[in-house]
Amino acid sequence: MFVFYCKNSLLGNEEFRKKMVEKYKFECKEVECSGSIELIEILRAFERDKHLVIVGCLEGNCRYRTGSNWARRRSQEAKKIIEELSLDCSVTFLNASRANESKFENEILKIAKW
Amino acid sequence: MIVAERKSYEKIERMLKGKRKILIVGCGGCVTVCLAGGQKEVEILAEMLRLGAKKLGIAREVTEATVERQCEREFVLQLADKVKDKDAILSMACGVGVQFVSDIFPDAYVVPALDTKCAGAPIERGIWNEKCALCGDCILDEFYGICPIARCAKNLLNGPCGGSQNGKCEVDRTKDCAWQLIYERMIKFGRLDDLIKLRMPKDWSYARDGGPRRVLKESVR
Repeated sequence: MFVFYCKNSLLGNEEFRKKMVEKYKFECKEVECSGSIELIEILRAFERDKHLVIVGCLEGNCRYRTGSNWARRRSQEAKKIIEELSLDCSVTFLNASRANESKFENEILKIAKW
Repeated sequence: MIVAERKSYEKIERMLKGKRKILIVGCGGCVTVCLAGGQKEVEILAEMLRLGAKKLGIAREVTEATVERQCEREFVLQLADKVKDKDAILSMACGVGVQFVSDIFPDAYVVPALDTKCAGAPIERGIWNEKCALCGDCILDEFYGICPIARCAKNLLNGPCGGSQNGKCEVDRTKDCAWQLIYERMIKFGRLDDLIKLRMPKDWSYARDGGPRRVLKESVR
């Protein structure tokens, strides 16, 4: 699993991120805002791992206002391409607040099990 | 501008069957503006072809280039070094660009990655509507800036068909009835009497009916 995360999202918290990385053994890359992740970056990341996760802020709580919305749209675009190419890959957009750490972890666990 | 859309990956893959060294050429003109064939789209398609090749287990070398405009000799000639030794050139320009690249490099196998759709304009983010049918004999002056040839599903020159509802076309309810728009413009300019004016059939010899068209400007020859 390869994870792009917004530095203002839940994974931006160093302590929580370290815990998750150690537990689920994934590579990750910090970005200023999840909305800045271009479709091409998502596609190129498939060369690193089959399963990608984009972690953004909760909608309406994005530091740059619409970043999470854009990240969700890009992940949907990437899903369409995966479908078009019939690739055995996945892209998941996750957003959660500190109050939902366990829900977030469950989602990561599901992807890690694939 | 010319509005285009990428062909399905399946069709592109079919066109490139057996080709190992591929050059994808983008165009910085209209297709960049309509988000179909600019540098960004070239990068995405190149990555798709790489991922596709990996999946199929075939060796494929994909290189990328984007020129200012694929419909101008000076810009296309810049590709000369890159075109050499390539098995296929995948052009992400409109039909004009694809043919122009093919004309300039007659030994290259040039295929289109896009379907050229129409001459249109964006009406909102992500939506382009056809505005001009390139008929070669503009009649927009008679219709207050709304083209019944390009924007009426039935190309009617003498009033509406009667099938529109709430200002929308009966052929496609998401589109405005061109004649409703013309009618509103006529009222706006106080020229509603123009609606009953009889218009003779259009001379289509200026359009495709007269064969492939050529524009000549002696002053710059």
